[in-house]
Formats: sequence, C-alpha cells, structure tokens
Amino acid sequence: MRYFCTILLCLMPAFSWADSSFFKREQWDFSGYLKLVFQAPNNQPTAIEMDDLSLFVSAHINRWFNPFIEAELYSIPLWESGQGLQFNQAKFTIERLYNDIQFDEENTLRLGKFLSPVSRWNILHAAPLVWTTNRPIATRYSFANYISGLNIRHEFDLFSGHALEFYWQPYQEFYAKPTTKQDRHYQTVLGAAWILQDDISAYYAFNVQYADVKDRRENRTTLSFDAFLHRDYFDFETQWLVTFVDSNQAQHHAQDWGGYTQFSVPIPLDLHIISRYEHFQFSDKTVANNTLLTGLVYRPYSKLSLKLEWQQTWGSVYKNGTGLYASVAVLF
Amino acid sequence: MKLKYLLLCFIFNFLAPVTCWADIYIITHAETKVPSISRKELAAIYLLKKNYWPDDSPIVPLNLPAQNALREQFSLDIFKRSTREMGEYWNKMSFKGVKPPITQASEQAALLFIQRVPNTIAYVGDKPPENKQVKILLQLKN
Amino acid sequence: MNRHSLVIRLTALSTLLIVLTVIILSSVVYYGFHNKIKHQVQRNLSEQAEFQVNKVKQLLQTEQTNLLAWRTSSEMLDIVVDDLDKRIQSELINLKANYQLPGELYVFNQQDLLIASSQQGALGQSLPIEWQNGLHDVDFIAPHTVAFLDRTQAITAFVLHIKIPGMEKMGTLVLTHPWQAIWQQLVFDDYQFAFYHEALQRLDLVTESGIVYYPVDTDFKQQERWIFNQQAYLGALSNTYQIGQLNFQVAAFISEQEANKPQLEVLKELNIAACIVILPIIFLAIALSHRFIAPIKKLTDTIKCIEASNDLSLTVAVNSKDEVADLARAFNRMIDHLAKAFTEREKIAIELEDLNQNLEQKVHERTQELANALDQLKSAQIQLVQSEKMTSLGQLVAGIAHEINNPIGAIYANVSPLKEYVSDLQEAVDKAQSLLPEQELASFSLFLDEIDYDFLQEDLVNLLTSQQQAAERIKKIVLSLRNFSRLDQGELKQVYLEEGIDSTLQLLHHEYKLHITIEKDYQLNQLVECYASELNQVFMNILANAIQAIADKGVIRIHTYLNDAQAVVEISDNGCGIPDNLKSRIFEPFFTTKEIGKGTGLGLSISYGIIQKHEGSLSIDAAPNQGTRFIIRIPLLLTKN
Repeated sequence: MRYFCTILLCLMPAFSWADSSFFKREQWDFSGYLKLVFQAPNNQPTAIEMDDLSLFVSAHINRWFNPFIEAELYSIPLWESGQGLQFNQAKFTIERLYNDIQFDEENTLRLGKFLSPVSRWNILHAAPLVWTTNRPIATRYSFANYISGLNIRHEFDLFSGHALEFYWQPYQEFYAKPTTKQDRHYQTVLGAAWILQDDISAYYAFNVQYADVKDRRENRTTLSFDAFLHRDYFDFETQWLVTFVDSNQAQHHAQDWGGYTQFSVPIPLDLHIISRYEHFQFSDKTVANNTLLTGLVYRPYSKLSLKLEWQQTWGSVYKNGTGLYASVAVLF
Repeated sequence: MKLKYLLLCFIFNFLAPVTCWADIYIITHAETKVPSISRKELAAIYLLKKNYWPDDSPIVPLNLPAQNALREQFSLDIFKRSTREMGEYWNKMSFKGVKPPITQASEQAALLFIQRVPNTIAYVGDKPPENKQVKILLQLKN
Repeated sequence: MNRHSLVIRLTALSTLLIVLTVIILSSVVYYGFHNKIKHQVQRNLSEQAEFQVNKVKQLLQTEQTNLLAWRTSSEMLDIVVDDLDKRIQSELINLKANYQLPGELYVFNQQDLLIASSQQGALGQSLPIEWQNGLHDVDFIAPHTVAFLDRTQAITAFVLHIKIPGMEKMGTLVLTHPWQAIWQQLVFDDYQFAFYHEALQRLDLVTESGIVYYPVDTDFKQQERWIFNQQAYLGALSNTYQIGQLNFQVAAFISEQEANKPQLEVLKELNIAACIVILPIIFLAIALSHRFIAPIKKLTDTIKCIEASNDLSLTVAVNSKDEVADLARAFNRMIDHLAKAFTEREKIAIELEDLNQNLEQKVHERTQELANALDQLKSAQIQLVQSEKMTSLGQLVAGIAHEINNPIGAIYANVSPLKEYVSDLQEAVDKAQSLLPEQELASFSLFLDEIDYDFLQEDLVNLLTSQQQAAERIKKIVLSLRNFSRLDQGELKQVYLEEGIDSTLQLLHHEYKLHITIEKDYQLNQLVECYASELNQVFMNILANAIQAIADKGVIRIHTYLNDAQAVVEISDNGCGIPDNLKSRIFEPFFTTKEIGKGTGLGLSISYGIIQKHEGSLSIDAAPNQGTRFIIRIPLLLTKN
C-alpha cells in the first residue's frame, strides 16, 4: 500500500493533462498503467485482482531504431472471498516487443510482436483508455489479438490518419499467453486494415484477417468494421464482425458474428455514464451471448479513472457473466 | 485544488474566445532548413506524426503549459480541440509509446529556447523580431 | 568409614575427574571463547564498519539515483532558457521539500552561471572551481567548502552534467550535502567510527564534538591496537568505497576495555558457576558412588549374612544389568553350587559322620568285640594254655601221680612188711643179745653202742612210722593231686567245695606251714554243681596269692557259707593288701606285681574267667596293709547256657 501511494505521489506531477512523461532519460520513454479490478459476478466468487500492471519502454533513436516493449503482469489475485488475501500468483507476459523502421513519414515497417489492428479496442485496450472494466467479446474473441511478425503501414494522410496496413504472422505468436478454454492460439495469420480515419475526433476502420488456429485444424476468416466517435457531449463506439470458421470440429454455426455499441456521456463532477449492448454468436455454442452493461466512471484526470458497472448477460458466457464490476485504472 | 483548476480552465475555455485572440506566430531557429510550413504540417508536427525535417533532422515541437491561454488558442486553431481534449489523444499516444511535446513555461522561454536549441519550433503570441536567431515559419491569423 | 573405602575413592576420583574436566574444559572454552570473542569483536567491528559504510553508501547512492532521475525531468529543459520561468527553481524547491534534503540543489547553465537553486538569493553565482569536474558525467566531491557558501561548514556535493538528448552538455546540477549531516550519522555510544583515507594517510575520527584528524602511517591497517586520547582501541576497517573521486573506508573502533568486558564477565561467571556447581557435584559424586558401590555392598552383606547364618540359600538381589550384576549373578550361581555342594557335603558328612559314628560304633563294637574276642581269646588262650597246662599238668600230675602212686604203693605196701621185718630184726637182735656170751655181748653191746642201737631202735620205729606217714602223705598228696588235677574237669559235677579247698591247702601246705595259720570256717557243706577242678584252680590261685601276700606271720581265714542260693567262699588274709589303684587291675591277664619270671600274672584272670564261667562273681575287698579278702560267689546250680 505504501508503495502504491508513493508511486501515486510520484505520479502527481504526471497527472496534469498532456504533460510529458514521468521519466525521460535521453531518448527513452517509460510509461505504464495499472488496472485494479473488483469483481462480483453472480456465479463466481467475489475477488479483487490486479488485472494489469504494465510497463512500456519506448525509444526513438533514429529512423531505423525505434524499439518498443511492453511487459505486463496480469491476473494477480489479491483477495478472493473464501481464500482471503493472497499475493503469490502473478502471470507475466511480453505484450508487445517490436521495432519500427520509418522509411519515411508515410511508410513504416514494424517488426516484432504487436497488437493486431482488427479492433480499436484491441489497439488501445489499456484500462485507462477504455470506458469499462469488461471488454466486449467482439473486440477480442474471434480473431488473433497479437501478431508476431511484420506490419507495413502506409499513411495516406498524416493528419487525418488515413492509412493502410498489412500484417503477417508467419509462424506463431511469440510469448503467447497461456490459453484458457475459450481462447485460441494462432499460427499463420494474414491481415489487412484499412483505416479511413484515425484522429482526435473519429476512427473508422475496415479489417480483414485470415488466421490459422494452432493445435486444431481450423482456420478463421474475419471481416470487421469498427468505429469510434469522440464528440463534446458523448463518445460513441461500435464494432461488428463476422468470422467464418472452417474447422474439423463440429460447429453449431458456420461462423461467429456479433458486435457491440457503446455510449459514454459525460456528466458533471468528472463522471461519465456508460451504456453498452453486445450481441455475439459463437460458432461453437448454440446460444448466443447478449450483454447489457451500464456503468459509471469517475475520471478526475485523464490518466485516472474509477469505473463501476453492472453487466447483465444472457445466454453463453464468455469470460465474465452477470454481476457487478469495478476497477481503478491509472496511466503513468 | 485541481478541481478549481479544472473549473477555471473550463471557464477559461469558454471565456477564451471573449479575450483577445492574438495572432500566433510559429517560430523556429533561423538556421532551420525549412522556410515555411503549412497548417497541416504544423498539426502533424504537433501531433508528433511528423517527426523529421526534410534533412532528416528531428523536429522538436515546443508547447506552452497546458493552462496557457495561447496554447488553448493554438490547440483550438490547429486541432479544433481544446488542450484538455487533446489530453485524451496524448493518453492514447502514450500507450503507443509516444509522449506529448515538451513544454516551456512562457513565451519568452519558448523564444529563448528555439534560439538556443536547433530544430525546435514553438508558437508565440507576440511577433518576435526577425533576426539572426529567429525565423517565422507560419502566422496563424486570428 | 574406612579410609580405603571404594565410595570415598570413587567420590574422590569422580570429583577430581569432574573438577579436572571442568577446569580443562573451562580453560579450553575460555581460551576458545577468548579467541572467538577476539574474532567476534573484530568481526563485529568489521561488520559495523561495513554497515556504516553501507549506510553512507546508501545515503549517497540514493541521492545520486535521485539526482540522475531529476536531471532528466522535463523542467531541466529550461536550462536552455536559463530558467526564465523559474520552473527549475520551483522544481528544485519542491524536490528539496519533498525529499527533505539536508543540502541544497543548484543548477548552472552552459555558461556555468547559477540559474536556479533551492537556496534563496544565490543566483548568478558562477560554478565554483570545486564543482567543475570536467569530463565526468557524475561526480562526487569529497568534503570541501565553496566560495559562496559558509566556509566553516564542509559539504559534499554531487555534480552532474545536464544534457538534452542529442545535444551537448547544457548545464550542471549540483546537490550539496553538509558533511556534518553525513558524519553525524556515525556518532554512537559504543562504537567509534572514523573515515580512513589511505591515499591521504589520514584518519578522520568522528566524535560528538566534531571530526578529529589524525595523520597515520602506512602500517595503520596492520595495527592491532590503536591509541587515541590515551585510550586503547581495537578496530577494523571496512571495504573501500568509492564514490566519484572519493575513496574511503570506514573504520570502527571499540575501546579495548569495552571489548574485553564480555571476557571478564565470562571469566567471572565461569568462576561463580564453578564454585556453585562444585558442591552439588561432590554430592552427586557421592550419591553416584554409593549407588555404584551399593550392589557390591549388598553382595558383601549377603556374603556376611551367609557367613553368619551359614544359610547358603540366601541370594543377592540383582536389579541391574551391569558388571556388578554379573558378579552378583555369578555369586548367586556360585552360592547355589556351594549350597548344593555343601548340602551334598553335609549329606556326605552326615553320612560320613553316621558312617564314622557307625564306624566308631562299629569300631568300638568291633574293638569291643575284638577286645572281647581278644579277651576271650586271651582268656581262652589262657584257659587253653592253662587248660593245656592244666591238662598237661594234670596229665603230668596224673602221670606223676600214677607213676608215683605205683612206687608209693610199693613203698606203702612195703612199709608194713618193713615194719614187720624190722620188728623181726629187733627180735633177732634181742635174741642174739640174749644168746650171746657176755664177752661177745660186751663187744656186741659196744657195737650196739657204736651204732647207737637204742637210738636206732627208737629211731627205726620212728623212721618207719615217719616213712609210713610220709608214704601216707605222699599218697594223700597224690590223691590231692589227682583230686586237684581231675582230668575229668570238663564235666559238671556236684562236689563239696570244702574238699577242693582242703586239697588245695594240702598242696600248699609246705608254703604256709611255717608262718601262716589257716582258719577254716566251713558253713556251706553242700553240694555245688560246678567244674570242680577249675574251682580248685581258683582256690589255688587265691590261696597262693594270699600266702604270698603275708610276708611274715599271718592268718588266712577261709569262710564258706550259703547266701541266697549262692555258695560263697571268702578267703581273707591279713597280708599286705592291695592298693586301690591296683584293685581294678589284678584281674587283668598278665598283670602281676611280681618280678619278671616270678609269675605269669594269669592266675587271677583265669580265676575270674572260671568264676564267670560259673556265672558267679569274684570280688575283692582290700586296703593297703590291711589284708585282702576274696569273695567267690557261685550259684549252687549252674544253669546250662
């Protein structure tokens, strides 16, 4: 606790808007974020968990050398009802590890492990940057979230962010997170993203991805569209995708499909009201998932947000079911 | 305390248009190879999307402090967004490993800075004397 | 208690051992302890020195780390503009407040002018020469003073270059730290610390009042003791710590007294403990010795008991399993064996005793028997001899008698004719006388006177009479002899004892006739059934003895009477008597008071045997010089057995 407060204290200067980083050492940047979750799902024990403790280091040395690494400790249970306090488990992963080579202003080659651009939520999934504790299924489930390989990005317009990306994972994911029952690891992945706009006010993108599932005879082809609007009085985001599943295992449906829409409305006192609806049909489940989520976010500074939400789930459950969830997210 | 700040800035945000909006001069060191830049370029530079001069030397944009009125004006002019809203953008950028531009506390400091450090650009409200050290790249007319 | 007692010895030995052991151990322990303490002290000092050095190190390193972080903070960029907006200054002030820095922060620009400081009113100063570190990016300046600061207070300073990425050095960041604040941390009660600068050959001793500088020589490190302020100290050095250009070691000192305190305490405690412990140890030793000796004692007691009571069934109780128990068990076994042996022996002894007794008895009996037999044999022998003698004597006598008888008969027979012849002769003489003429008569008468015819005539008659008497006497003697010898002595006869006595007297007549008077008092006059000849022997013996006993004149009285169906013959004399001590011996065979060759000593024993044979008794009544009386009692009728 003391450590946490000390960190917080040290972060105080960093809490002002658009201020420079916490630590600058020549060309190196250090940053990170922290997500502390309190969850009370109906069908699972109440728990407090440090879901993410990430540290990223980036450097901008020259055109050829712009490394980035994000290391993360995740799924650190702190307290669980029935088990009491515990500090003995933590999972570690290298979320991202890549180098950007800027051939010129418009063309960048990225080599390493990076986030796949299929969903904006995937690219910017850091807890302080999203409005809810729980992540919509459509933003993670159906496609490869991480690409270990190369990405070529061509910017048509630097200002608007109109760009086109191609990416390829030749072999398999580097330092993959261990799978749970519901997740997959991918082998060869090939994708393209056409980002129509990526600036302060809006984001639109079309995505296509072909992925070969590891340890299964299955390949998936995903088509996705997602959008994000940032206006004065609300934030709106949505994503819809369909994934064609070609598997030798019996499927209930030929494809996954689904999507979500979410609104975030600022109200006085640094609060925001969040509401989201999601529908997702799993190819390997008969019943689709319908989720309705309402939440309240207190965000005194842009780098700190306290979220409280109630999620109501019908049908198949993915990761989190009906229940109350709260979290604290800090960017530093 | 911060709340007051916020409120103040919020008000400022609205009041700002009431106060006199000066011209904004985009200045750089006289020896910078580029004679001038466009608005778009300026925006790209300040969004840290454009990082290199044509001669491959790095561009270092200078900001004024977040609460600064001129900065607010600049932000609204260039990005059509307030500083605060830009904060969001910078959060996202920080997640990608990009930090917002460095700041100087005052226009005088900014002026001094660009004279002493090459490849930096800054914006000021008062037209600086054009001399051996300073070059105006762009003038944002109010 | 016996001074040789095992208990005492054991006690003494064990006490001695224990005491010796304790002393040796204590000495060893103390010596080891002494060494250990010495080492420990050294180690402690080293550790303390290290600890303090580390403390100082930590302190300085934290500052350095912080500084390295602070110099990269965004505010430092303002160096470029000489901190026009005082952002650096406010930052420095904040930092000083937040981190509670004991010193001050200074930022100099590229021209080495102080543009920002947490200290008030110092701006515009130029970079002191002490802080101009040239090429080093980070430097630590040893305690020094600078021009614009209090010259009396030494300070240390971290000097860092401030650089903008991609550019040359833009400025200098300095953090000062009052030297006192650093060394004051090394003031302690128990230990004394100092900074040792090997290169400078100087020891900065930290005291409460300040730092005292001692120059030291090169062998400082090798010294074992150091003297400061007339006090001896033990010390140790830490490792060298280098920060910036400063090299130093921390030395930790402890006064020798202090260091030796634990040892003295230990010594004291050891002594006290030893003294306290000795007494119980002795008691314990005594108790243990007793315990050890107890079984042996028990054994001894049991043995004594066994000795006293001779009861071999006693055993020693065995409780333990040690050697003494083995001894006790062996002893028990031995006792058992002994008991068995003894009972056997006793049995054997008893048997033996029995046997012995029996033997004795038997021997006695046998002896008795033998004696009896011997006696018997002797008496038989005697008797035999006697009887042989008597027989032969008898035979002889009979023979003689017979032989004599004949001549005697002849003689006796001839006497009468002789008398007649003599008378005839006398008549013849007379007639001759008568017829002779006177002349012839005168020659005849002279011749007759020459031959003493008158006497001759008288004597002739006397001679013839005495001859006849003599011949009669010889006849009587022969008769007595025959009576005496009685060759038919094996027969039991009824005779008058008096006849036998008389016969015997007859035979002994010549012995006593001169000096002894025989008084007879025959009252019995009855037939007694007996072995007459043997009785005559008895009478003979006794009478012979009586005669011999009377030396000069005396009387032998023979009294026979009847008493209680027994014939009693008393023969008493007034001779020399028999002394009392010989009374019992007279009946012993071969016992005699006569000279050798004068008597066989058999007489009375044979007599005794003969009377015994008659189932009678032969007793004696005598006193010295008062005579002797023999009393023979025999039954009238002899019962055949």
